[in-house]
Amino acid sequence: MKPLLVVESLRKVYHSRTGLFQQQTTVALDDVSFTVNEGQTLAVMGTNGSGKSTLAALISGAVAPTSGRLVFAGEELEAGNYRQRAQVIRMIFQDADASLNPHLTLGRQLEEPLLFNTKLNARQRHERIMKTLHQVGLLAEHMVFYPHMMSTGQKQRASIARAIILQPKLLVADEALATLDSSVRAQIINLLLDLQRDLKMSYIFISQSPEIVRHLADEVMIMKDGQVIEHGDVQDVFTAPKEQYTELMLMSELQRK
Amino acid sequence: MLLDIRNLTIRTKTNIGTVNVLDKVNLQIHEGEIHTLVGESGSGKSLIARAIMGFLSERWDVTADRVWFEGKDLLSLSAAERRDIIGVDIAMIFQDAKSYLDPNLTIGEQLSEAVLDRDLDGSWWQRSKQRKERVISLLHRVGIKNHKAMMQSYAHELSEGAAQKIMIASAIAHRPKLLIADEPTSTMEPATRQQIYRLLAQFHARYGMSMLMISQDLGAIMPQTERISMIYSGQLMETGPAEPLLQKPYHPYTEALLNTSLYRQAESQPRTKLPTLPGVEPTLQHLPIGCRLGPRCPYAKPECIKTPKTLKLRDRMYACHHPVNLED
Repeated sequence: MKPLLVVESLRKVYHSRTGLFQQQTTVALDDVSFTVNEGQTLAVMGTNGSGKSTLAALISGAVAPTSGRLVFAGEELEAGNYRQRAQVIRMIFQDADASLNPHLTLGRQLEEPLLFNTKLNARQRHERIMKTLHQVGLLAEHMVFYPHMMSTGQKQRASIARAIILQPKLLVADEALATLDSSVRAQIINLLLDLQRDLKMSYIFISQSPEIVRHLADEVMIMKDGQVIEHGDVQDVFTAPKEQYTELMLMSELQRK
Repeated sequence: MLLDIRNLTIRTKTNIGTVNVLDKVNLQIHEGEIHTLVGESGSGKSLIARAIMGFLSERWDVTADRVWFEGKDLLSLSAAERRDIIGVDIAMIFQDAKSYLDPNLTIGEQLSEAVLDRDLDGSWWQRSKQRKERVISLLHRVGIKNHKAMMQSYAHELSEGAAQKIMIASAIAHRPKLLIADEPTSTMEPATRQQIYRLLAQFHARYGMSMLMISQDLGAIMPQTERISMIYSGQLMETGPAEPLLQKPYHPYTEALLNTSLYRQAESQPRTKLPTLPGVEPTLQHLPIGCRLGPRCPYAKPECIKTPKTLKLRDRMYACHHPVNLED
């Protein structure tokens, strides 16, 4: 298996002003290194403020790292260079309400990535949109819907459709499944597994749900205060967690047994 | 019987005419019972809660044979009667606690608004002192020890769990007989969710208040739940005591939801496909005739285009022509 994304000693420090000359530094991410192989799923777990969303922002290029580098398929990624990323790395966010454009119908919204990144003609674009909508469990009639006409679960499915419509190499999902209904979640999980099998897609899953992580991921990375405290095979970490913090994270599952 | 809802129907106008968003829903909640209403998004579970509270706007036409709370009809209350019941005997907490708190007031100011003047006596300075004491005791009751800092903070400074605790504190200020919780924990991380459930269970045990919990995931319902009602696309599918219903669901929909729930499939093989219902839930413009689960149901037969009657079997009720797990 080829390494798809290599992250080398990534570090991100935020400065916030607290007074006229005083400033507070927050280390959001401290010396994080990992590799994601082709067709592999990495899960990132951690409580609020552990730096997992910063990691997602760095991978997506929305934020520049303080130091360290990201290498995607042998090519170094620069922050803010979306042309480099748009077709190969896509993101799904937690807050589906805020991640869709309220001015555009769903059809237009799904058409935009195709317009900018592919040479498909209008009919092919339409076909691709219909196919993708069907994949995520939406109907053709949803193409004329504006985001406010849909429920939260449907909006999340729409943003998943937007992420997979270009058939990217790497999908970064930041708590994307948390707000979905269980039957829809099962459908999406099946869809993600299908896509991974057919297109050799890699996933980075940021999640707090041990159940989803156990079902989907190959490797899991536990983060605390910006540092990786545990990284290994899902089965190993879940059956014999080394840190007490990990045990606490998995508690909700252990309690049910 | 604390809350008795019979044949609650809610209609709204769409571009294809008037649609029954909620179709003859029955719901009974006894004194001191924790009742969980489970349904997917868009199934109308929040509409039921809002209809009970009287929050629905003009565009929803609410009719029912009865919506009785302790024998009083909630649909025909005058404004004065409503003030005595809503927010006092029936309180509600919401999914997105932070957005229901006033961003311009401190937590202390907001909670003191929840303390009614008529519960206090004495001169104005005695009343204001009592008011403050009440607020502090409310904060202590929801497990916030550092009341001084909390009373001075604003909603945006709180974490999700803390904001929900403040909502609970203001909801229980009058010891309601019924607490409606509309997905109070669905966006929280597991540890915080357990904490909120423990807190609610504590109040249930201490004050004996009834609760109507609304949830979208059968796997993440409150562990202390006594009865469960399943709703799909505005129709009530099944009602029954929690344990037998989860062990042996009668309705195909309950069975399907249980199968898709990852929490219940702890022993499932990782990276295998999960069994799901085919298709998607219908839009309001294309509601199926008869049983609304029909087009997606694996057991559907031609007679499913007729709405099934609600049948009663001991303490359980189901609405299905072809129930499963009924052999014994």
